[in-house]
Order: sequence, then C-alpha cells, then structure tokens
Amino acid sequence: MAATPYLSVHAIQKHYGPVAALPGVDLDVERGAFVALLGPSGCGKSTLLRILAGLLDAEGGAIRLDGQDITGLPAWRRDIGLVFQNYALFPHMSVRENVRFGLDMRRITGAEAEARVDEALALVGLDKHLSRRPSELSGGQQQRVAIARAVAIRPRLLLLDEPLSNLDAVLRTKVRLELRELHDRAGLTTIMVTHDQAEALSTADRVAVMQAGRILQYDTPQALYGAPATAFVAGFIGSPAANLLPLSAAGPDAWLLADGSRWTPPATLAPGSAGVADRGDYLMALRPELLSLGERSPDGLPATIKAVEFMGGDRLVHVDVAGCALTARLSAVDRLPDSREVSLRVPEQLPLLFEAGSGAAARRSRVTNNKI
Amino acid sequence: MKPLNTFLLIAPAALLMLGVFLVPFLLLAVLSLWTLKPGTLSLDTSLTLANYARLFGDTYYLGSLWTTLWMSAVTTLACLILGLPLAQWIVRRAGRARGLLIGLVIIPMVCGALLPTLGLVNLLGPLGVVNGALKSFGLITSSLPLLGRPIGVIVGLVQAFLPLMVLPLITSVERIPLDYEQAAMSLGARRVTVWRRVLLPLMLPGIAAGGLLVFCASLTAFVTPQILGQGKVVTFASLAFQQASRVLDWPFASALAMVMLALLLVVAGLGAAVARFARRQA
Repeated sequence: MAATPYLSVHAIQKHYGPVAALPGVDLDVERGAFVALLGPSGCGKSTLLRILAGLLDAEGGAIRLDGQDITGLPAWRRDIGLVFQNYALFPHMSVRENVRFGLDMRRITGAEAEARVDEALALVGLDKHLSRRPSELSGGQQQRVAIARAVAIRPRLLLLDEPLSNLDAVLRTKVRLELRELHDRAGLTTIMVTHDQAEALSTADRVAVMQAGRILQYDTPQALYGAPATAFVAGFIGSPAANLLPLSAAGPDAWLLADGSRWTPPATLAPGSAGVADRGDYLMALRPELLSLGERSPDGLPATIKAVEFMGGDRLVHVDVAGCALTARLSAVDRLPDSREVSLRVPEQLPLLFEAGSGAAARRSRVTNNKI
Repeated sequence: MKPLNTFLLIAPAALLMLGVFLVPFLLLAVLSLWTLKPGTLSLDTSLTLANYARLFGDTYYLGSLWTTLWMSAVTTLACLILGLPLAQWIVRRAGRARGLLIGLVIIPMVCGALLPTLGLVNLLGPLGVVNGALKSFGLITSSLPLLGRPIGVIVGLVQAFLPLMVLPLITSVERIPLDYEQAAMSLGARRVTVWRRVLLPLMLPGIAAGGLLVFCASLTAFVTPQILGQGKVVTFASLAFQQASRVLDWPFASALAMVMLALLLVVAGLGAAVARFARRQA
C-alpha cells in the first residue's frame, strides 16, 4: 500500500496475566475494505476487535484511524460501530429506540434523528415491528437491529463480532450475502471477526488468518487458498482443508514417507524439481479436491481406503498413506477402484512444500492459476 | 402434577401459616376493636373504633408514626445509595471472591439484631470510637449526641438491613450482560450515561424489591430503634411494645399493629406496582 492506510494497527500488545493474547499485531486496512479476522477460538481475534473498539486497552502499540491517533481515545469518542455476537440490544427499549440511542448520544434529535433511524433500518431491510422490544423479534431480526444501531451513527469503522454464529445454517448463508451487499451499499470500512472460513472467504476482500495472537497471513481469499504462507494456513483454509503429508527428501528423485517407505514420484514432483535440499523434513500440502484415486501404480502414492463419506454432489474418501490420514474429494460420479488398495494420484504441478519444523513455506508455488 | 398432589405438598406449610400467622392476626384485628374498661385491665368486648380515634387524634402517636416513616425512607435511600455500587462491584468479581463477598453481606442478616446493635452502642456512644476519633483529631471538643437521636437509629437500621437491599440488587445486576454497557459505550455513551440510560432501568426490579424489603423491615424494626434510640426516638413498633407490655393496653397495641399492617400492605402494593412496571420495561 503506497498511501497511508485508512486504519493502521501497529504493534498492538495485550496480555492476560502471563499469557500474551496479542504479542504485537500489525494490520493495515484500506478505506472501504471488508476485512475478516479469521482464526480458531482463542487466537486473539476478538481481543483485537475489542481493542479497536476501545473496550479493551492495549498495553503497547498504536492505532491510527483516518489520520488520527485513536490509541488512547475512550470508546465513546471513537465513532466506531460494533455489532456484538449476541447483539446486546437494550431490552428495555423498542427497536427504534435502540437504533436511535447512538443519535441521542450525539444530541441529534427530532426529524433528523427519525430520518437517520429510518435510513439505517432501510439499509438492513427492516420495516416491521419497529415499536416492539428486541425480545419479541427473531434472532435474524435482532441482528438486523444490531447492525442498524451500529450503522445509524455513521461510524468511521464497522466492527462485526462473529455476526453469523447465532443464526441457523440456512439463515447464515443468506445473511452472509446480505452483509456483503450492505457493506457495498453503505461503503463502510468493515472488520469482521469469525472462526468460520466460509464466512471469511465468501464475504471479505482480505482475510487475516490468526493463530496464537499473530497474523500468519493477510491476503485475498484467493491467495490464501492458492498460496498459503504457512502449513497452518494450508491446513486451515479449504473445506476440507489441505492434507499435510509429512515426507523427507531422499535424494533428488525420491521422497521418504513417514513409515520409511520410498516414493519415487513423477519427475515434476521430485525433491530435485522442488529445489529443496537432499535431506530435510517437509510437509506437502495436497488439496483434497485435486487428488484422484486409481489402481496401484509405481509413481502414485500407495494408499488404503478407510472410509467413504457421501456428501451429495461429491464424496470424501478417507485414505491411509504410510500411516497418515488423508482425504480426497471426488465427484460423486467418479468410479472408485474395486480394491481398497489404491494409488493416490497427485497432480503433476508441484504442490506447496512447507518445512516440517517451522511450517514456513519451503518453496512458493510456481503455479499461477491459484491452485496448489 | 395432579392438583390434589400439589395441595398435599403445600398442606403442611399452609396449615402452619394458618395456625401461627393468620389466626393470631385475625385475633389481633378483633382485639383492636375492643377497649379496656376504664381504670381496670378487663376487656370491654363491644366493638368500637375508639382505639383508632385515639391514635389518630393524638399528635404524640401521629408524631411517632411520622418519625417511623421518614426514618424508614431515609434508611431505604441510604441502603440504595450504598447498595448499588456494592452490588455492581460484587457481581463483577470472579467466582470464589464473589461467593465470599456475598457470604460477608449475609452475615449481619443472620446473626440477629442484638449483637451488632450493641456493637454500635460502643461505636456511637459519647465515649465511643466515633466521638473518640473526632476528638483526637480535634474536630470536636464535646461528644456528638449520636445515640438517642434519629441519626443513630438510622445508622443501626442501615447496618442491619443493607443485605436486604444488596441481595436483590445482585440478582438483578447479574442478569445484565457486560455487553450492554460496552454496546452503549461504543454508541457514544459516557459512563454516567451508560448508567442512567441502560443499567439503572434494568436494575429497577431489583431496586423495587430491595427498597420494599428495607422499607418494610425498617418500619417494623424494634430492637435497633429501642437500643440506639434509648427511649428518646419512639418508633411505632416500640410504641406498640410499650402499650402491650408496659401499659398492658392490648386493644390499643393491637390497633397500632393493625395500622402498621395496613401501611405495610400499601407499601408492598406500591413496590409490586413498580416491579411490574419495571418488568414490562425490561
């Protein structure tokens, strides 16, 4: 990013007792972007969100928003809209009163306040039950009210904390699309925290994958899928995620598998072609959807079928390769080999390799079509 | 559960309440309509409102009623002011500390009125801790008369009944998620505004319940005003005690008790109305 980013988070730290929730996080967000913080629970994504909102104090680092240092600014002066996971609607106020609350705080009254409330409610597509209490609304409606309430103050930044986690599966997919549409219509710079990668990948322009308080990779969804920076990201993104097959180089032509057996792959998949050292332990990332099964052959990976899951349009075939459990995703129309003893065929474009110890990429994919 | 079974389950408690609570009360109500034959201790059983006429016609009794009412009101207010922050503070503690603190709140309630009140005599007396401290700091030269004054009685009542305020408040504060405060703050509310617009309305049921309990308990308190008032602060309860056990005018004492009961019912009705209003708001 050439120009100063709209939101710049620099070296933010937070400890809970001796545990570093955030050892020093950097994050830049451009104006109007939709960014997702994605990671398993306890990875620090919600802590970061609360620090941005001013509800938690950072112990170090700085936050700049639109050219202003907001690090020490109290929450009520930040103009940052926050949508809580459980919505946190005020139970003693009607829908309209909830949405108007932020305007009351800004001494906006009368016709202007009413117009802004209407505008916010229209943005989330809510026009009924406006004088009801939140407890009389469905979960989906409550969430719309929560978003309308945050949007009504015309925030400089909209923060969404696990916005879909309290909705049922059908509604979740629908609201996912709506969130994106809302973002595009309102043009609000948005940061969403989620543990659900489908949510993050489908909605956000850029996704920050977090683990143990660190951002492992901050990239477009396509890049996260196609060129994961670490083994953790590869093993996290995708549904099911990429298989990580441990192997070590045994000369330029062959790999040693976990059980010590030797695999001599087609030349394009060999250690020599990967440009890695003769020795060393690696993890080979294999996307389930790019694998196929066939009769035993010398250059395929010897595999044993353990279980087959029928998923509708496709099947998940769980196989054992040298003691490691891998998953292949096959179309439901593909014929499975008769025998359980099969070969796992890896596409002959070189898969990503990660160093076994650090999980860092040993070699970037040469493939440009965003596939491993 | 079948209605009959339910009835059998509540029957023992219901019979007990009937025998030791309702029946004596009805007897009391009848007794209040009798009078003592002049100059004797024998009862004139013709029904009359003479006792009530005497009560409401005498400024001494009305004055005592007024003293009792305003001291109860001040006690309730003081308990509220002390109890609100205390309840919020306790609720925000972590598990073990919270249980301990709630236990500490309950202790004065279960150890009876006499012991703490006698302690307060030592604290508030002319040679007590408070006066001693004020003197040694040179703030006063002669002891402040704390005992035998409403202030002393109110201190005692607040001490005795604060748990009755704090416990319902804790219950209602516990039900307010921290998210509400944070949501209000993120929408631009300062701490004071968060408190006034969000927390206070949501605590209203607890405030109503606690207020009702403290007010009614203060209204009927006997031991505390008796000891700390030293006979100079005459509350309605001590008046009834006097009439019953010193003057032995049971019918008049009964009339005093009935007035107190009527007052309690009115206050309870008001409290229930506030609680209902608060629930509808929430």
